[in-house]
Amino acid sequence: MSVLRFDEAVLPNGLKVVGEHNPLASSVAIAYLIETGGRDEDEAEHGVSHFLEHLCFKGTAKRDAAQVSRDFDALGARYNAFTSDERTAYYGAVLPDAVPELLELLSDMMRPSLHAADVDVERNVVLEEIAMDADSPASTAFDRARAAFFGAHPIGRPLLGTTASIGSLSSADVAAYHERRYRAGNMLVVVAGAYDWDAVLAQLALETRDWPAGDDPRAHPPLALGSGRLEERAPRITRAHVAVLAPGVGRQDPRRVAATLLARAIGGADNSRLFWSLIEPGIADEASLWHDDAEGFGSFGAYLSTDDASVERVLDVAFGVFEEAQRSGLSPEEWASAQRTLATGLTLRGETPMGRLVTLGSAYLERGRYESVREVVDEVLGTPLEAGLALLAERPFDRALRFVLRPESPVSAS
Amino acid sequence: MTVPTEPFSDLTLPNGLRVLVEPMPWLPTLSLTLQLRVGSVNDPDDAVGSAALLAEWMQRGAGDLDARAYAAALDDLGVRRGGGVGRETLTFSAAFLERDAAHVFPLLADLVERPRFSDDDFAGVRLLALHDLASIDDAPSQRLGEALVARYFASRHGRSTYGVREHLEALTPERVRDDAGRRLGPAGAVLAIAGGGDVRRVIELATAAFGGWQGRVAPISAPEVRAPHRHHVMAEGAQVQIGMCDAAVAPGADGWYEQQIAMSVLDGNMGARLFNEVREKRGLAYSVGAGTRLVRGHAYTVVRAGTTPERASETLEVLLEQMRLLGDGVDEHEYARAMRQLRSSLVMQSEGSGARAGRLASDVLHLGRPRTLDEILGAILAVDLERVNAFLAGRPEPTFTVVTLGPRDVAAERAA
Repeated sequence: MSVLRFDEAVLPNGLKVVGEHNPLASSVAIAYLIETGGRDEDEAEHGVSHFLEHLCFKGTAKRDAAQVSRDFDALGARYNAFTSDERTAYYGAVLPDAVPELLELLSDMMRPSLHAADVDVERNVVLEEIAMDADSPASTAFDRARAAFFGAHPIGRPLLGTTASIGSLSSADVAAYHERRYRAGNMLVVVAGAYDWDAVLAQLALETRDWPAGDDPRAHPPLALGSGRLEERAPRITRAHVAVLAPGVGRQDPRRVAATLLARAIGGADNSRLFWSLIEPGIADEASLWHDDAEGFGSFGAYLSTDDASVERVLDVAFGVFEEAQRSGLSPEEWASAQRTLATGLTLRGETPMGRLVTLGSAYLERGRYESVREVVDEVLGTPLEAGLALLAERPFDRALRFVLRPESPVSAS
Repeated sequence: MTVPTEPFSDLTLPNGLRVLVEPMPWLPTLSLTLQLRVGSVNDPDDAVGSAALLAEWMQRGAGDLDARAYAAALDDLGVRRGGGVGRETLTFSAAFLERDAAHVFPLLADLVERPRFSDDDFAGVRLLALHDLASIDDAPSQRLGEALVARYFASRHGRSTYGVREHLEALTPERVRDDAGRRLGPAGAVLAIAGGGDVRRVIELATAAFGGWQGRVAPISAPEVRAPHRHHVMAEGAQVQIGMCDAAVAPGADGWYEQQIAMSVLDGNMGARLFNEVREKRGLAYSVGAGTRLVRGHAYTVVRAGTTPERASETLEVLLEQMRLLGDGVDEHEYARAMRQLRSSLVMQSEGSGARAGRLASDVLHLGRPRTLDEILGAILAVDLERVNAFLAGRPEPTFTVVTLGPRDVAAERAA
């Protein structure tokens, strides 16, 4: 009954283009995914990926910053961008009649002018973002935990950069990074919804004809994972925030679905072992476990939040839960629950073109092929419990890194 | 091109529950929102936070199933759930595959018809509520949000949905069970459903599952606001949080759609005035925004920004100035952008089943009836630029209640 069609092409400059056509959709969503992020930065460039993401909205040879914003708005577009350690994405969705304009605008933004004056104004915005992050103890705890867990690998640095690193980046630094990483062969365009494939391809060929071809292979410096327990007392906070990181599997690893499922069974939202051991009895107000897959390696992450006096108890209970799972495994019922709720979530996200974009593009980048929602759901439902048990048998939580961020002094009840 | 829309079904069961079904026959999923008129606003005066406890306790087992068995039953069917307690509604939302509807509906009905309310679960529920309340201290933006609403409303609408610590500590299982008996009934509640499957079958399943639900309901008093004033909350932190509130035109009243267009000019997107003036031109803040918030019978404008202390005073100036300038009207370009923005975001929001179910429930709360997408689009498209500017010219000067939170009292510095 599927009405969906997969489209795929590579332009002469190496730009990859994929699409999932859905004639029943009311909108079209378009994304540029660039295979670059925090892990691709030199030490001197720390924070540049995210800074550049901001600057791509600040003007091009054709438009100044205000014009970029006005043009998005004139299209009635919903749009945004994000940067991760692995990838930078710019995306938008419009009604089908505005596709050519959106495609032109997003393509133009991939060649930002990076004027020094714009860089200075935007620097303040990023510094405000860093300040906002500094007021989030959970972010602070994970920044510290990642530094200790990933060690000297660039993925251990905070994605936003630091006040010092952002303060010292010049427009020439940003331009050099852009020149190196935003090459056609390092990018993927994804379209989803009710689009016209031939028109999209013809327009993209025109818009991107002068772009530098080729790519810039990602460096893979050695990774030595840290473990153990670290603790810091911080001013201005009233609760204890615990970040846990443990070794997982990489994004090309066939076990990544099993890793996601076992994380849900142990620490998913409503009905997981951490929920019943920590949330239900009211020992902690946050206790969750998830799995992140990166290129070449992955990690389990857990977040625990409680009052300062309960830190030891919460850590004991959480690591008791991990140990029990490593020792005795998971039940078929727990596994099936994790499979079914994940499958529903994937199906729901597939309802809209905007929801499809990133999963569609990521699958293509990471595994080099089209995965329909149906195939992804089938893969989830077909992943056997044994795959999860095999991962647990490697005892990843024995090598966990715990970072405890807690108040400077016991806080009186207010 | 428009979103395929089909008229929805709208019926009220004999017990007073309103059931709305909007068909989206091309989807394999169904989304459902169950909205009860229970919230902090009708918490007993000496038990603020009781609704928060109720919302959590209800999910600790229902019907013949204890907490774990209940959660497992939903998970077996792959049901994604959400919701929570607000000022004046208690909401449960669920999404699942349409083919499982016959199994899911009775389980969800048990939540409200046969909650277990076991004494054994109560201590954990209350501890969790106390944790949630305490955790606001580490979330400055949320803390400002709570303080702003508390300062703006004179009525019980200003209460925190997290409750009051002393009240939570004093609550007993008996008190909360009594409270449930007082207000967990079906009259005035809404069951909104959107998604795939045969509509008649969905209505039959909903009626069979929820038709037997009985119980009393508690009234909700009308909202009242205080005279505009300024207030600062001293708090350590890297940022100052700024929030402002002023009364706005309520849904259904004259000017509602004009106001929506004007707010879209202010904060529809990155080209909108606030983002442009505060972030783009001056680099004053990373987050800035404005919107219209609703409680039943009252709408209010909320303007927010978070900035570093050195920039806070200027940020506040710019925000107030922008709100004043809106009275001078919007130009044709701004109008055209806002219209296109509203139109396409309405269409795109309607592509997902969860958003549609949520809108049906919200429409009933604030307008007394659901609207189709075509009705909303038609009403917005009928408002021309002259109407928007006539509306803005006729609005009184804004008089904001301003609340700041952070290491420096910005409002006082500004007044000095």
